Amino acid sequence: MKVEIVQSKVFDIIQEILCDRRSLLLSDRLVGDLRIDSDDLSFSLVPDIEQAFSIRVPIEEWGHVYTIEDVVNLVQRHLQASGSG
Amino acid sequence: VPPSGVVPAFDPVEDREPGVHLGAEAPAIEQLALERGNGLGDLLARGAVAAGATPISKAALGLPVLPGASAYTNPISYFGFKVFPGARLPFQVLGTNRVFGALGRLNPWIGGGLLAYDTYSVGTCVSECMSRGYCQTEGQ
Repeated sequence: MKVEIVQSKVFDIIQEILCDRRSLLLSDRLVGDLRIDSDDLSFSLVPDIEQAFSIRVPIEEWGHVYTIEDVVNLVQRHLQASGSG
Repeated sequence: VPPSGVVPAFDPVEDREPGVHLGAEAPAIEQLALERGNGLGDLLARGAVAAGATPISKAALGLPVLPGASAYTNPISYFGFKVFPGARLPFQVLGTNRVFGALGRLNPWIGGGLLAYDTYSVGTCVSECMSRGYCQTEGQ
């Protein structure tokens, strides 16, 4: 899957969580800049990402995700590992 | 003139104003409290609020914790995630669009409101029973 498509899907998911179609930057921090609720990260973002890309990310790996770019890179890595990337 | 003897000490209970206890037996303060609605339903409601505000470790539940995010959740939010994961609003309430997430955030405010109500109720209840002479003190 092309990185642009991954980015677009990730942006859509985050905009849906924020209920705001604002323009996002890859460098936006999920907590620091976008102020996404802590539970929304665990209960919405993570399952939505995993469902949208049909991947399963170990919970430890989410502990290194600060920005949208980190999410995109994480998804890309798992897609490539699963042979879908 | 016969000696007057020793005058017994004044007993505030024995020597109280006559007529105080001539009516029906006064209810105990516990009964008065129950009549005012502080019964099982109220107890359960307050227990539910307290239980809903209990912090639970996300790690213990096997949930991911992203950097900068709280490592704890509450039972209401977690219940919504497990049972009604699709219960979301098209707008944010209290910083989230998850229905049960908002309820979990609202819960401490409900608890605060109940606490204020209980404080008021206990105060008025005690005040009322004291003014009616229902309150019993030690030795009575």
